[in-house]
Amino acid sequence: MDENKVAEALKNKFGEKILKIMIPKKGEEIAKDLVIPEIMEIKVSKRRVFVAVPAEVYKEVIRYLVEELGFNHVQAITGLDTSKFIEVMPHLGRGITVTVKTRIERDKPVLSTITDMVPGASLHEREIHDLLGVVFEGHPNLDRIIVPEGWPENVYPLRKEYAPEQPKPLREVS
Amino acid sequence: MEWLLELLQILVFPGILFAILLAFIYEWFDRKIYAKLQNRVGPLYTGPSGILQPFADFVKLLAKEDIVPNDVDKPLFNALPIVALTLSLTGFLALPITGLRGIISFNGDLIFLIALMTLICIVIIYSGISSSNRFSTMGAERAALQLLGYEIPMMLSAISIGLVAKSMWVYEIVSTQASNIWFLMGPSVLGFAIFVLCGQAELERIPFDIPEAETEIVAGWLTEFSGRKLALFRLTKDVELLYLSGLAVALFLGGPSGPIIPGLEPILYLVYFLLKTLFVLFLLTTLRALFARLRIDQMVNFSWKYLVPLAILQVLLVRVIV
Amino acid sequence: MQEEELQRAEKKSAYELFFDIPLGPQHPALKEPAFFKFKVEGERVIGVDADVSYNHRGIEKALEYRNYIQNIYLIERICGICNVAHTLCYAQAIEQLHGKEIPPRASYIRLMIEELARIHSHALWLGVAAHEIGFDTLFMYVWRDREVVMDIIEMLTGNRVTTAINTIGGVRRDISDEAKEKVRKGMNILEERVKYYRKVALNDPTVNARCSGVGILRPRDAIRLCAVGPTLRASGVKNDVRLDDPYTFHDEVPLNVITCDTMDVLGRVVVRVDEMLESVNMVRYCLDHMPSGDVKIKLPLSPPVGEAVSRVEAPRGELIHYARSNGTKNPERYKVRTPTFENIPSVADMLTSKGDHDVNIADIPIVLASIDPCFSCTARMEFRDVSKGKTWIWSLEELKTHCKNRG
Repeated sequence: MDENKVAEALKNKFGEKILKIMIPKKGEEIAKDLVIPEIMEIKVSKRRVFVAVPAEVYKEVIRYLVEELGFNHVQAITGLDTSKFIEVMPHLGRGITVTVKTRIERDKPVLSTITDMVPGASLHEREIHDLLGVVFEGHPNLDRIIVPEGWPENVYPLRKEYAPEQPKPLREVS
Repeated sequence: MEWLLELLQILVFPGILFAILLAFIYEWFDRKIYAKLQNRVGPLYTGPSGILQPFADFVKLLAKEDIVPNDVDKPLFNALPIVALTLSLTGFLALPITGLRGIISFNGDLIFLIALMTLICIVIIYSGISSSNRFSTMGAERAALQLLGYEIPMMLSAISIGLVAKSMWVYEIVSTQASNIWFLMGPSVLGFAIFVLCGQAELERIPFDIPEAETEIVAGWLTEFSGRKLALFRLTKDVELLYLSGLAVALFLGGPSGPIIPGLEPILYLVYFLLKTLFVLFLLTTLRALFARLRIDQMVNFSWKYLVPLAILQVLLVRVIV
Repeated sequence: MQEEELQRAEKKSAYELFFDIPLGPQHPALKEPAFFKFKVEGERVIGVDADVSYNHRGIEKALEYRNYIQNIYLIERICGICNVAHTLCYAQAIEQLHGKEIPPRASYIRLMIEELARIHSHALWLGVAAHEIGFDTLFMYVWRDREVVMDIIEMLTGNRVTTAINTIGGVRRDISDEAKEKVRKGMNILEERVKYYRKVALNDPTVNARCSGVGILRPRDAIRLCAVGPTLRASGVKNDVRLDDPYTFHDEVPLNVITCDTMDVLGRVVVRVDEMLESVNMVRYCLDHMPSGDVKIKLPLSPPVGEAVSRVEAPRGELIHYARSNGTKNPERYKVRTPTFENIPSVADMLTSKGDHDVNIADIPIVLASIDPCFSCTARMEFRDVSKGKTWIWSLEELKTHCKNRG
């Protein structure tokens, strides 16, 4: 499967939900989309497809990719805290990597799980739950996996407001 | 004054102190050969070519802290290392070293010696159970299962030799062998092989070190012992190694017999004893280096499927030929 | 379903039927801390619970506070054994962000070092696996031969373990012709020794008894639970990042992806040993066909705004890095997902007894070792403010002062 074909298939299936499509050349055009967060689109480069979708369609897009296009291997799920919202991005595929990016609110970070389609994604969702506070609905077991026992509730280390403690120098070096 | 001489014999030579000294040297020999087979050096620095290493290990362990966990069965836990050492030293006293009979020698002592080995295994099981620790309990459980595996073939092969010599007295077995050289080959080879293999299982060495498997259950039944108790247990293992080699030599290789010059008998007997037991030790160490560790069910399977029939075959062979 | 059966069985008996055996965090079978709790019945394992983040160092958060050049060295220390794979993946991700290609000679050198690191890692694993089953002789022999590879890597990069040869824009050192000769000689020795180990692994009866039929992972489960690396390939699934998503000229250098149909630990041993032989061939090909030219291009410190996904076949499996840059010198977000983390659901599946196939306690160490766990790679994320965590924020001056004061 070619990456352009994947982009075409996604466009055809979900076209009305995705507002703008572009095939970027090198750095500059990617810059524009990060500055204007409301535009959802597809970016294609060599063996990589980046699809940005709204949270309502997220599970349908994943189901389409997993079940119909055959991208049943979840490589990783990245969670990212921009200061305005939280992005969750599963990376799927074995040859071509399709990254499905979606955004959720920081105050109420809830997203549906994909473990019913791909059981191997369970540990990744637990990690994002521990570090960013995202609750995955329908996940069988959201126990603590990364943070140590006794870690305080509601403190999410990977969020931007959590700053690690800087030690004071032992001696004033002038 | 007889009793003073005997006491000196029991305590010093060829008794307890001699046993302990020889046990250390045999452990060194075992470690050195094991290392050479693995393309390593083995003990090197303590003493000439590392010969004092086992003694150094023993002394170091004696100096370490002896931690007794709260939950253990204290009387058993404290007494068992000493009991184990006593049993193996007692066995050693019965081996013929500077003569054709050992210090302890009586009619029927073959059975006594075999039973002693079983007793040591039972002490191991008790030590595993008395330290109330999951790993120790598992080690004790495995030691018990392993006992079921090797006990029968070992006894059968030992008794087959008794059948040949028509006696259960180690002294008579050794004298019969000393006078008929053909004994050393012929029907007892199979018995010797079975005895050595079962000896490896009794000493809990690879491929049969299942009760103490380091990577699986930490240290098995030895886990909770530390300091002096661990030192005594390790010494027990070394003396047991010596005892088993000595027993194999006494039963199958003719004990310390060999060409003698009258007048120099005790020394020559000692030299032959040392040479023959070193040979058996060499066999045991090579076995240790050659194989991976078996699983407990594989070991018991192997023992009942192969060793027991072979041991029965050995007994029949002896009945038929002799 | 299994939980109910367990509870019913427990109620029937007056004694405690099921026993919980803890493995870790400190245990002779584990080279790095992890905690597994096994529910056992006699010698049979019926359930397992894993907790893996004992080595958590907060690397992903730390990466956001340093610039791209400093991050190379931090990424390298995620894991000692896989350090080449991590730096390679990182360098590729940042080069994708910049949108530039590196010179072909640099790619060939990267490929060669990556394959040498793969040989080293598999040799280490073979020794460790032999130790887990109690076969110390094989352990000693393999680690003796591993010294050949370590010496070659030291000659090429200056260090035995953390090589630091990959950098953004290429590699840091070139390879001379005398070095090439020595590498060729080393490869010849290694090939002969690895063929001998292959024979031992397949023919020795005790190794077969312990490894054959143990740790079964069916292909359907492997795909469903997203297994990667030799764990996946030993279940017959032919997936390898070098084949599916080639990087650094893996599409030109001839590669045979090794799979095995036996689905057990012995299959994984065979896959890794054969991969060592394949790597030897690839290193030879690189030496013969290395193009001339520069080994590095100069790239600015801040890449343009964007994101990139970079994948590499580390010795343990598929390694993926995700980078997001916001135009400054520090990354906005950098995610590392290591193969061991991905293999944990598979190992939990391998360790539960299902149907009539039993898993014994004696099999646990070798099954755990068969996925080649590198728990230091696995846990990287959260920042703990305990004294160990403070150590690497200090500047060099502060560190020296601290050491002087400690005496």
